Amino acid sequence: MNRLLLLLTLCLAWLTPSPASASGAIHIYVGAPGRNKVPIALPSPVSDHPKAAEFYGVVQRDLVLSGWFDVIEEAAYVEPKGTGIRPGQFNFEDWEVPGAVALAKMGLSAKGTDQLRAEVWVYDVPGRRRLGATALTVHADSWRSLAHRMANEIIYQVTGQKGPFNTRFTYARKTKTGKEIGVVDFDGHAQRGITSNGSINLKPIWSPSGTEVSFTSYREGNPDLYVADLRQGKIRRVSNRMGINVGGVWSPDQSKMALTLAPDGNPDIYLIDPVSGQKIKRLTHSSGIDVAPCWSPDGSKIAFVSERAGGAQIYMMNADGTGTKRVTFQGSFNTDPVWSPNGDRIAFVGRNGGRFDIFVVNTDGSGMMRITQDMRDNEDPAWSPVGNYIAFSSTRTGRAEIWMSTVDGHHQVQLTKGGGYLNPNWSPSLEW
Amino acid sequence: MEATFRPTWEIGASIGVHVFVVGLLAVGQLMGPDKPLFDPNDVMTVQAVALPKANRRMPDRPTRAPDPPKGDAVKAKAPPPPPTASDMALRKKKATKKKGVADRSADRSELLNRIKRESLLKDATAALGAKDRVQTAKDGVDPKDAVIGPIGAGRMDPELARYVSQCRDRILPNWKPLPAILAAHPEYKVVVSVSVGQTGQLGSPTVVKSSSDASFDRSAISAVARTGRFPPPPTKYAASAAKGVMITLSAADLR
Repeated sequence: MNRLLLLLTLCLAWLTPSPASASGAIHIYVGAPGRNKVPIALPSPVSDHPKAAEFYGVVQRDLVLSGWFDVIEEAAYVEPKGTGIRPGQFNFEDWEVPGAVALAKMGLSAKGTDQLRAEVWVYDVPGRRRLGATALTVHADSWRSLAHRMANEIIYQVTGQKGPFNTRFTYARKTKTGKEIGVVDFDGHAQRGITSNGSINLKPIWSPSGTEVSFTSYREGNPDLYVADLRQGKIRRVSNRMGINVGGVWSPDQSKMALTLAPDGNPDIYLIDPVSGQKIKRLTHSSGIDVAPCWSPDGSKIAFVSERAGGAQIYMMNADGTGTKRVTFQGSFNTDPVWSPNGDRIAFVGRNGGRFDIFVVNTDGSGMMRITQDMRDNEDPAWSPVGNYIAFSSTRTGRAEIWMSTVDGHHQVQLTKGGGYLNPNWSPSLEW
Repeated sequence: MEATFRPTWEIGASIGVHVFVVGLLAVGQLMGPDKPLFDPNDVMTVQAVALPKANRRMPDRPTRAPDPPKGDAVKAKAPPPPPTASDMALRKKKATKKKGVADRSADRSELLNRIKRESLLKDATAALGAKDRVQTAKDGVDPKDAVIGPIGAGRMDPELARYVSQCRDRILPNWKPLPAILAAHPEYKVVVSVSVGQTGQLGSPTVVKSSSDASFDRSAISAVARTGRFPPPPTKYAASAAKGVMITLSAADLR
C-alpha cells in the first residue's frame, strides 16, 4: 500500500508545474549601475572657528567638482545644526529623510595658537554604518590644504578612489607683455607666480617629485629650458643650445630629461642630464619634425609627435630610441601626447574640422575615444595623478581656462576663472 | 528472510497510472488545438540545469545566441594594424633575400599593404565625425538579444523583451549604491519583487533574495521605489506582472 502511495505521489509531482513556472514572474536583470551620482549629505562642520564657513565651502566645491556626488541642499536636512559627528551621537533616520546615501560629518577646531584640527567621519546611510574617519592637524595658514584633504578622505571612503584634491596645476598665463608661469590649487584658487620676467614663458612640466617645474623661456632671446625649484624659490637654466629647447620632461626616476632640440635646424628628441644639462643621447633621426616627448610611467618608452609620415602623428619608441611604432592613424594632425599613469592609454590633441579636441587612445592604437567635441579649442591634456581625470585648456567660454573631465568625457567642469590659462600640467599628489 | 521477486498488483497499478497519464496528455493535445501548449503567464522563468556529462547536447530548441567577443577576443579579431616603417623595412629585407624568386610577390604584398593602409585611413577619417563621440548612456538590449535568465535557455518574446528593457532603463538612473561597495563586491546581487499594475504603477518592493549587505539591499529597494512606475505591461503579461515582477540588481554588468 505504501508503495502505491509513493508511486501516485511521484506521478502527481511529475504532473504539477514546478514552483518557478507556477509563479510566472517576469524577470528583469539590472547590472552595472555605472556613474550615477551619489546623493551625499554634507552638514556644516561642528565648529566655532572663524574659518569654518570657508573650509566648508572648499570641501563642498571639491565634492561637486569630482563628479561623483550630488550634494544635498542643507535646507533639506532634518537634523539640527551642531549635532554630534561621531557614531551614536546622531540618528541615521534623520539622513534617510533627505535621501542621503552617504553622509560626511566634519569638525573643525583651533589647536594651540596657530594650529587647526579637522576631523571627518564618513557614513553609509542605508547601511547605517561608518565607512571611515580621519583627523589632521596643520598650520592654520594651510586651512585650504586641510579642506582638500578632508574632501580626499570623503571621496576615498565613498568611492574607493583616490581624490585629486591635494594637487596643483602649473600653467602659462597670458599677460600684457607675454606669458608667465604659475601654480594654482586644483580648484583654481591660491595662485602663485613662478616667473615674472615680462617675457614669453611656456610649457611648464612638473618633476615626478612635485618639487620642481621645467619650462621654456625667451627671457634671453632664445627659447631656452629652465627649471624652477619650488621649495627654494630658485630658477636655473638647464639647456640653452642654439635653436629651440622645449618640453623638458623628467624620466620617472628623474635621472634623465627628454626634450626637443634643433641644433641643426630640424627638431629632434634628445636626452639630457636634468641637473647638468649635458647631452646624453639623440633619440630620433628622422628628416621630419620630432617633438613633444612624454615618458611611459615605467620609463621604458617615450611617446612623441612626428611628421615623418607627412602629417603630425603620435609615435612611441623605446627609451633608447629604438623600436619606433606609430600609435595614431586617424586624423591628419595629432599632437601633445600624455601617457596615463597606469600606462595603458595616451591622451592627445587632435585637429578635426579646424578645431582642436582631446582624444584618448590605447597604446596599441586601438580604442580611440573622443573627450571633447563642438566646444571650441581644447588643448594641452594632462592626467590626474591616479588617471581618473584629464585636465586641459579650453576656450569654450570665450577665454582660455583650465577644465577637467572624467576619462569618459561625461563630467566636465571649469577650474579657473579670469582667462588666459594655457599648458596646464597636473602635479603629482602633494604633501606640502 | 530470503527476498524473492514476485509480480504484485502494485506493479500493475503503476503501469496503469503511467498509461493513464500518457493518455491524458494525448487527449489534451487532440482536444485543445485552440489553446497554446504553454501559457506565457505560466512559463516565464527558466531554470538552468546542468546536463549530464554523457549528453551535453541541449535538446532541439532555440538557444541563446553566443555572446559577442569581449576583451582579448575582440583584439584577436581586430584587423592587424598597418605596417610601420620598420615593419616595411623588414619585409623589404626578407624579400631581397629571395631575390629573383619572390620579387613579384614582395611587390604585390607591399601594394596590398598600401591598399589596406589607405582603407584604414579612410575609416579613421570617418571615425572622427560626430558619431565618434563618447557613448555614456546605457543602451537598451536589442529585443532579439534578450534572453530569459542569465544562463539563457531560450529567446524571449520580443514584446516582453522590449518591455523588460524599458523597465530596466527606468530603474538604472534611480539606482545609487555606494561606489565603494560596487568596487569591492562585484559579486553582490539582490532580487527584489514588486507588483506592477495595469497602468504600470508599482507596489511596495520587497527583497526576495538578499545580497547579505544591508546597504546594497536598501539601495535596490530605493531604486525600485524611486522609479515609481513602469510602462504598462503588455496585455498578455498583465496577470503575471500583477503577481510580481522579479528584479535582480547586480553590482557587476550582467550583459
